[in-house]
Amino acid sequence: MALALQDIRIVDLSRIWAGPYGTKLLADMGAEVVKIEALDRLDPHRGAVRPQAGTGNYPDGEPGNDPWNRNGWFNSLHQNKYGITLNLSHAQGKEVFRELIAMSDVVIENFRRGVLDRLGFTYEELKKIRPDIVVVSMPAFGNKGIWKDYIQYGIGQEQLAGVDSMGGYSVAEGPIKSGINHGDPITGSHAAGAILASLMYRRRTGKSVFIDLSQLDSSISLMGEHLLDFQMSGKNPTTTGNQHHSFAPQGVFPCSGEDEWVAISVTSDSEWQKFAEAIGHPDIGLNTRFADSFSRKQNEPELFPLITEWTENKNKFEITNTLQIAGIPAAPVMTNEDIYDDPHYQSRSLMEISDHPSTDIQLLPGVGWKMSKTTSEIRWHAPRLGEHNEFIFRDLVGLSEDYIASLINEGVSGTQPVGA
Amino acid sequence: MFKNISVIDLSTGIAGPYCTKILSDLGANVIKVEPPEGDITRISKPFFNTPGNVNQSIKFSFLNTNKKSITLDLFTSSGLSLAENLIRTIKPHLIVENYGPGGLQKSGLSFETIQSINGFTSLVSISNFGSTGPYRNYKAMEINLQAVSGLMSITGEPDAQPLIAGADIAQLNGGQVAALSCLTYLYKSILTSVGTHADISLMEANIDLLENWMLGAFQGQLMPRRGKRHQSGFPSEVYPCSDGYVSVNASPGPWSEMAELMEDTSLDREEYHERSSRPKYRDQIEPLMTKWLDKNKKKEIFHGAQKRRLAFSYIANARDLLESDQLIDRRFFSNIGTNTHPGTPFKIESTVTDSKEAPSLGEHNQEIYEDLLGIQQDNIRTLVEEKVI
Repeated sequence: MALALQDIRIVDLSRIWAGPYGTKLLADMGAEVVKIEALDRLDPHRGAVRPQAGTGNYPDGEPGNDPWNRNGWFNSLHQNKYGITLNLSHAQGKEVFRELIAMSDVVIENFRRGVLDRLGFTYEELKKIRPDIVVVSMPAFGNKGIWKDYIQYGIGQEQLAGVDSMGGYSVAEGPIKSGINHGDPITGSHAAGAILASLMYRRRTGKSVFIDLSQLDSSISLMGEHLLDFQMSGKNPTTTGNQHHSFAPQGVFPCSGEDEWVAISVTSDSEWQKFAEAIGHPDIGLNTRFADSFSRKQNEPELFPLITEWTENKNKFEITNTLQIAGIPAAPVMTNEDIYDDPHYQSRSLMEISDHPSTDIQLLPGVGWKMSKTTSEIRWHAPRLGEHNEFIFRDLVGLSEDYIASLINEGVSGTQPVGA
Repeated sequence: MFKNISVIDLSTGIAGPYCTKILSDLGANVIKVEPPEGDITRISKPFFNTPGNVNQSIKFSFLNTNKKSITLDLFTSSGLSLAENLIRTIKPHLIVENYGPGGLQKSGLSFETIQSINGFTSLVSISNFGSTGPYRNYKAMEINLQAVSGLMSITGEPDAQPLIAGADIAQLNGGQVAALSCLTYLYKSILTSVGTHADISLMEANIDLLENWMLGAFQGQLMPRRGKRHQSGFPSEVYPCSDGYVSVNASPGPWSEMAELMEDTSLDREEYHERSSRPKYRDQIEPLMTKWLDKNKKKEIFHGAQKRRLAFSYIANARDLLESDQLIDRRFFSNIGTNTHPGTPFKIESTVTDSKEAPSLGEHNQEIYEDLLGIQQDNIRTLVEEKVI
C-alpha cells in the first residue's frame, strides 16, 4: 500500500521535542525525513554521551555502551526517519548540506533565532539553492516580535500562553501546569500542518514559503474562547479544579489500589437519576436539592463523600464500565503502564514493535490516527547516530567513496560522538 | 492560501469544529451543515449579550470563524437527498463528521455512498475512542478524555488527587490532530484523486501527544505527578510574586545571574553554582528567592531574567495576552467583527487570510440552497415547514 506523503523530502535540523514531533508525524505518513546532527552537538534527547549512573531514560535504566543510541526520549520520536551526522560549521559539511537542500522540499529548524543565518543559510540563501523551498523556523517566540531573542522551552509556553491561569486545584492554591510541556507537541503538530499547507500552496503557485512558527502563538490557540470571554466580561477566567463550571457532580474519585482514580462527569438531569441509582442512592436522585443542574452545582460538595464511599473499594475499570452502561461519562485515570496494557488501545493495534539494534524490541505507539488505503506504521527504528550516513551520502546525494571517507577523516561526519 | 479547497462540515461540539476552523482560517471554503436546532455549542455558556441566543455563544463564535452555516436534518429522506445534492454540486475535498461510531450511517450517508457520488472526497470521522474497540460507545467529557489519555495521571500534586489541566486541552488537541489528517488527505487526494476514510480517536490523538514523555521515556517506569515542582532540577517551579505567579528556571545562563537578578549576594555562594548538587540547598535558597519575588511584579521579573538569559516565564491571564507587547508586535491577533481573536498559529509569508465572524444559524441557507443548488423558493418553503432546514 502507498504511503500518503511518500513524495516529500524534509531536511530536519530540529532538536529535542517540538520539531522532531512535527517531523515524526510526517515521517509516519511516509515523508522522507533526513535528520541532521553534529558529532559535537547531538540532539539533547539522546542524553549525555557518558551519563552519570542512575540518570537518563534508558531501557531497564541501563545506559549501555552507546547510551546516545538507547535513550527513550529520542527513540520514541525518530522512528521512520533517516539519521545522518554533518558539521554545518565545516566547509565540506556546508557543501554536502547544499547538495541535500537542492534535492529536498522542506527545511525545518528550531535553533535559537539567527543560528542558521550565521551558518550562512538564510532564507534568501536557501532559496538560491532551491527556489521553491519551504522553510520552517521555530525558535521559542518566532523570528519577529520584541521577545524574539528571549529563551524559552515547552515548559514555560503553557504558562505564558495563559493555559495555566486556568489550571490548579483552586485559585487560592495557585496554578499548576499540565503534567507535560504541552507547548512542545502542540507546536510540533502545528509545524506538520504548516508544512502540508505550504506544500499545497507551493504546488499551486510554484512559490517558496517561509513559515515563522512561535511556540507561544501555537499554545495560545488553546485559549481562544477565554480571550473572547475576557473581552465580554472583563474577568480573567480562573480554575474550578476538577469540577465543571456548570455540570455537577463532576470530579476525580479514589478507587481500590494505590493512587488509582476514576473521573466522573454527570452532565444532565437524566444522567443524574441513573447515576444516583448506580451508586446505590436512588433517594438522592429524587431529592429536590439535587433535582436540576443549578441546585446540584450549588450543593455539589455534599455529594462527594457519597460518591467516594461507592468508588473507594472498587476497581477503576469496573466503575467505568458500570457507569458507561448506565450512560454516564466516566473514565479511569490511566497511567503510562495502564496505556501499555489497555485492551481498547491494543484492539486498535496502536502499539507497534520497534526492533532497535541498541535496545532490542520495544513497544511504541504507532500513529495518531487510523486511515484506510494507506499504511501508517513503524517501518524502521529510530536511527542510531549517523546510521544512514552511507545511504544518504552515497545513494541519495551521490558523493564518491573518497569524498565520504574524507568527511569522516575530517570529523565532519561519523557515528561516534565527540567525547565517546 | 486554501481558497480552492472546499469542506462540508457535519461536526458539532468542540473537536470537530476546531478541526474545520483550522482549515477555514487558512482560507478553505467550509460549509457547516447544522441540524435545524443548531450546533450544541450555540447554547453553550457564556454568551456575548443575550443569554441563550443561538448566535451569541462565545465558544461557538471562537470555533466557527470563516465558515458558512446552513441547516439540514440529515435524518429525513429529503434532508439526505439535499445533502447528496450538496456533495454532488460542491464536490468537497473533505467531509468532517462526529456523529460517533455508526452514527452517520444511520442517516444513509456513509464513506461508500460519498465515494459513489464523488471519488476524491475524503471522510474524516472524529469520535471519543474511535469506531472500533471495547470503549467505542463510551461517552466522554473533557475530564474523562484527560483521564483516559494519561495526561491527568501526571498532572497535580503527588500527595493529592490527579488534576484536570486548564482549558479544553484534550478536545482541542484532538481537533488539531484531525486537522492534520485532513491536510494529509488534501495533499494526497490532490495528487491521486482518491479519497480516504480517517478514524480519529480523541483518546489516541492525546496519547500521541504524550507518547514521547509517558511511553517512550518512561518505559517500564511509572511516571510521577510532580505538581509545582515540575522538573527534577532546582529551581524550576512556580512561585508567587507581588502581582501573580512566575516560573523560576535557573538556566541556561550561569547561576551568578540569579544572584544579580535578585540583588542578593548571599545567593551567590560557591556551593549553589553546581546544578546537580543545588537541590540539596533548597531550604537555604528558597527563602532568599521568595523574599525578592514577593516584592516584584511578574512581568518585570520575567523581562529582567530573560535579559540575563534565564528562561523564566510568568503565569499569563487573558488580559495579559490581549495586552502582550510581543503578540501585538507580531500582529498575532485578528480582529473579527468587534472582537479580537487569536490569529493562525503560524505566520506564513506572502499569504493573507481575511476573517469573518462565525455565522448565525442558517445564515447561508439562501446562498447555498437557492443560488448554488438552484432549489426553487416554493420547495425551500416546504423544507422549512417540514423542519428539514
